[in-house]
Amino acid sequence: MQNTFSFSRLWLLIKKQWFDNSRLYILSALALTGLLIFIFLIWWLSGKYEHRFSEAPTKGIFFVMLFVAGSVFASTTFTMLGDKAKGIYWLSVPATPLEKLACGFFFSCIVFLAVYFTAFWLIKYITFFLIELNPRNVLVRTDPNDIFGQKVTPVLLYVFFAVQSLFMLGSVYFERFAFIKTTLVTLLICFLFVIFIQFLVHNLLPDSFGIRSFSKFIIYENNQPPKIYLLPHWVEDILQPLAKFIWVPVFLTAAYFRLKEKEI
Amino acid sequence: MVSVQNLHFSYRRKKVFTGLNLKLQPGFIYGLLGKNGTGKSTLLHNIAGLLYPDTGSITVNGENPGKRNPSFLRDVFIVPEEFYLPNITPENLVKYNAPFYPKFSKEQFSRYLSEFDIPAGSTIQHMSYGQKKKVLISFGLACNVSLLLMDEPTNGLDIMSKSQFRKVIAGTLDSNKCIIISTHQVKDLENLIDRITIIDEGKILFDQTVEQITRSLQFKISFDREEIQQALYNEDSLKGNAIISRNTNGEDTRIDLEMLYKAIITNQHQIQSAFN
Repeated sequence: MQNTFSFSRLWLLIKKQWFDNSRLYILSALALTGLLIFIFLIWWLSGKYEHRFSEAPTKGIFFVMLFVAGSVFASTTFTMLGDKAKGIYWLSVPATPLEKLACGFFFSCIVFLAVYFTAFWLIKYITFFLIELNPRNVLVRTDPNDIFGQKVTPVLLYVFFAVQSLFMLGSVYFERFAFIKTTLVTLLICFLFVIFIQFLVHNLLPDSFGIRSFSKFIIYENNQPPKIYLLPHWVEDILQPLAKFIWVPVFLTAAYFRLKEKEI
Repeated sequence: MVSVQNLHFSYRRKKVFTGLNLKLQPGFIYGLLGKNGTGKSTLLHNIAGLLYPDTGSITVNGENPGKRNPSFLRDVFIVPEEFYLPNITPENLVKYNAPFYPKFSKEQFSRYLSEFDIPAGSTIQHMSYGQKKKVLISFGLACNVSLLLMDEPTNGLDIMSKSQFRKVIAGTLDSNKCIIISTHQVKDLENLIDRITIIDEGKILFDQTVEQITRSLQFKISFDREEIQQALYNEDSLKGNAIISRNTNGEDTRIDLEMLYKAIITNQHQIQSAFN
């Protein structure tokens, strides 16, 4: 008996999760689609009277909705743990915490992303198609090839998965109002981090200290050429990908241990 | 099968168990009795791995429940007092949950549903609380796990359903299974359990097999004043005085579980003395 990770058990868990919650997922997808239609309607109204529409604001709609709706959905990943009856039902399923976490990640990240992309581009292209049916309308395109060329960059995916993982972690920690509490705690931690860095910079480093990269620091002194301090290049080679990729594993590892120790 | 050793458990500052010891064997139905809030559910949740002991240890078939390994979870099923079932049909419940339990029997599940008079094809969403509970009990029984934990299973069941419950449970036990039923409705378990364990304030007050109880105690109605005075426990009833006395002549009487429970709660030492 495999007590660490089994793909066949994960598949069973995904099927079970889908059929247990299919109604909720379908309603959520419909609500998301409805909200996007509503936002696109407002965007259309803003250009309707001048018969001039710009694609540029849809980029903002895409990002804001992706992160807001995504984090709200990720905050519900483990909400069953806040309810005694649902929590017992879920914790008693014969699967490891790692498989349960992977199942949550699958729905909150992969499935959400697929549903969101499909809904967004469908609505966007239908809207654009309808606008272009009227020859008086002018549609200013700003994002050519915007599915994979402009918007869905690797950086976007790193950031998206990191934010989703953070809100998944929040849903394990906070039994109620996980989205609000996670947002507040994150803002508080960011604020304290900025204060801490300010403190370090003001108390330990010279006034004219500047950071150019993970391995390059510069100090400007009056009437003297700036001093450049270089760390070995491998420091940057390690720190840069670490800063980019560390968040998803850190948040998911914390969520894993929290799930493991969860009591009902 | 289940070994609880020196279990200490508390909810923040409220101590529930302080050194509880218990051993349960397969082939028996154990009745875990006690007042509300004495730790029956907490004990079941500890055994199921839903709560972790502060100190002490619990093993179930040699496994630590707290690790929640799939090898442990697929051989244990809990019917909690507050339960949840998704809004799907019993058929789909089986389709998507049964694969996790290797010994699950669809045939048994259908049989239990029919014994419980659950209409075929209905969705769980449209069932009453009692019907939902019967679906869950049927599913738990059909999993054929070696340890079945039931917390107040007769709560919410009507009189007919309680009798169906006793019948179904009695027919399901075999030498490899252990069933623990926790309840404060002691009457519901009469003629069903093999061993009675009474918990009060986190301690085991009484732990005897039904066989030992019938060998040591007699339950009867008496009008004899001397017999009533010498009884270990007595209470007025419409028919006379219901008494519990020592079984000195080896006569088997039917255990009145409710009276035994009251006797132990009010006069534990007298009752225990009959077993020494």
